[in-house]
Order: sequence, then structure tokens, then C-alpha cells
Amino acid sequence: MTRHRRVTRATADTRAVSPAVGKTLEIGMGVLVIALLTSTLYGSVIPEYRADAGVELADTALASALSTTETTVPPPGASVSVSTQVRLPTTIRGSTYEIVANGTRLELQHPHHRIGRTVPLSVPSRVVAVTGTWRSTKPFVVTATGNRSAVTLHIGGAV
Amino acid sequence: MWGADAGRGIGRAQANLPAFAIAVLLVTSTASLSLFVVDGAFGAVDREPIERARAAGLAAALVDADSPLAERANVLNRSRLAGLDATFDTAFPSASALDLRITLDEEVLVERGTPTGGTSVRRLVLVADRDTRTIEPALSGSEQAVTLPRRASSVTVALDPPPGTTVTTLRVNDRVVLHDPAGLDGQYDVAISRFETARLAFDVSGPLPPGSVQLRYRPATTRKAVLEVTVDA
Repeated sequence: MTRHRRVTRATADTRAVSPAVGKTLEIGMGVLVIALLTSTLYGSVIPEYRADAGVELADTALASALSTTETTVPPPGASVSVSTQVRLPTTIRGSTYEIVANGTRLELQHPHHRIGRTVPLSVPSRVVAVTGTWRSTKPFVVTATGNRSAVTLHIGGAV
Repeated sequence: MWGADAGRGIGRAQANLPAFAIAVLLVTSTASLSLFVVDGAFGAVDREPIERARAAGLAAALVDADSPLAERANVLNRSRLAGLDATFDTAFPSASALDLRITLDEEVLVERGTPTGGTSVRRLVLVADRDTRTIEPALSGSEQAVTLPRRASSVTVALDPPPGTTVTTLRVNDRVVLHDPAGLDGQYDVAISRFETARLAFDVSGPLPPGSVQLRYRPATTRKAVLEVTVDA
């Protein structure tokens, strides 16, 4: 023990600094690595993946809306009134969205620039119009009304 | 420990830096490995749901009761199949911008663009074909009747009885469909039921030799086929 003390005393001015430098260096590198990783993940990778997942989910939702709308068209009859309801995702990429029917097409509208698409409907010629706007906060409902020669489809939320 | 360190000089103080470097390496490689896994997962869920929905919708429209091809729901008229290519774009305007192929048992009916891969929807359908058949029954005996070998929706009866013989009444399954006390002669179209076998009975004053009654009918023959719609959006 006495020998140790002697050595410690001999170099005390410089030696005490080295653990402090080492720790500082470690902390600095640790912070740098975490910062780099976090900024890479949240800066580009995760938003990109969220948008990818949003595009896929929007495709699935729109495909579901498309087939629901197409199958709602009733067989020819004197006076028809059919309504079909389906549950679509409430939010895509964290925000609500809309499906708009304009003429013979369905369009999905979303605040994110990569999400959104328009698809034409495959319906018989006696379907004269497809109208309405559906907001994703309610279940998706398609209502078909009309007669033998003219059927109107309307999309909207359940009451 | 503090004492042991002290004995060997300044360089020893940085001893846990390699361990730290390894830790950083582990964190980084785990992060990149998980990104790789996520990439793979995103690749695996790429299912083209809209392409699928459009193929399914088009296939459903083709076999629907009011499709230009269909005789009734799920039954296609064979004579109209060949003309589908010409009428397709006006009958299904929503599909005009798609690369698609429609085949019936490998035989291509419609092809637009060059669909490579894409999504296919197959439906089992019946293909109905109607050809005219003629029979000339020999009628004699007390009950002058004949049963149509196959069901049809109508039959054309051509009567040409020999002189001195008069056909007054024609019954189908015991219901009177033609009656003339002065005698039936010539061609008559008789609507019969598609859902029961028709038995035609004649009220005749004498025997009817072969050739004096001719029956023409058009039975539907159906075969199963696979309708395949391939869409490459």
C-alpha cells in the first residue's frame, strides 16, 4: 500500500485526467451514435415505411370499396333499393381520408402526397350515376336505388 | 481495483473503449438487420389488391345475367363468344385502359395490350350451344303420341297428313295447345316448358305415316368451361 501511494503521488497531476477523458470520449461517441441512428430512422426510414404501409393499406381499402360497390348493383327489377355496409380502416398513416365517387370512378383522397388513387368501376350500363363522398370515420355504405333501366349508386357513411 | 490500475500507467485507463466499440457495432448491426427484415416484410405484402378486385369485377360482369355473352347467369352462349373481341370495348368501357386477357379453356377470346404476369381470376361457367334437331315420328295405334328426346323451349310442328286423315288436336302433356275441328295442316310453333319432358299427343282420325309429322326443336347442350380473366394493371 505504501508503494502505491508513492506512485500515485508522483504522477498525480496528469494521471487523474485520463479516466475523465476516456469517459467523456465514450459519452460523446455514444451520443453521436444514438443521434445518428435516431435521425436516420426518424428522418427518412420510418416515414418512408409508414408511407409504404399507407399505400398498401389504401390499395386494400379502395379495392374493398370497389368490390363492395360493384356487388351492390342489384339484378334488374321494377323498383330496387339495396344497401351494403363494410368496415374499412378508420385511419391510414395516422390520418383520416375520403373516398369520393365521381361519375364512374372511385377516388381515394389522403393528405399524404404518396397515398391516393383513382380506379374505374366495372358496373353494368344500367347504372347511370355513382355519387357521394365517404369519410373514414364511419362504416362504408353503398346504397343502390332505381328501377329496371336506371340504377343510381350512392356511397356514404352509416348513420 | 483502483490500486491495480494505478500501477500500470496512463494507457490502461482507456481499456473499456474496445468494449464500447463492440457495443456500438452490435447496436448498428441489429438496426440494419431489422431494416432488412422490414424491407422483406414490405416486399412480401405487395399483393396488388386493386388489380385483383378489377379482375374479379370484370369476371363477374362477364358471367352476369345481363352481360352480352350470357344466356342466363353463369351460362355463356357459344355463338356470341367469337364476337366478344369486337364488342368488348363498348360493353365494358371501364376495362378499356387495362392490359388484359380473357380466355375460355385456353382459347383466347380477348387480348388488350401485353399482360405479363398480372392477376388471374378463374370462374367455372357453362357454355350453351343450340343446334336444330329434326325427328319424323311414325304415329299409329290408339295413342298417337311422341315424346321429345330432349327438353327445349319451343318445338315447330310441321303437319302434312295424308288425304282423308284429319288432325284435330295437339296436346302437350295433356294440355291442348292446338285445336282445329276442320283439321290442322301446316307449320305451328309451340312453346313448351324447359323444365319438363314434353309428350306430344295427336287426335287423328286415322294413322299418320312417317313424313306426315315433322318435329323441329333446339335443345341446349352445355359443357363446363373455365373462364379466366387476367389483368395486369
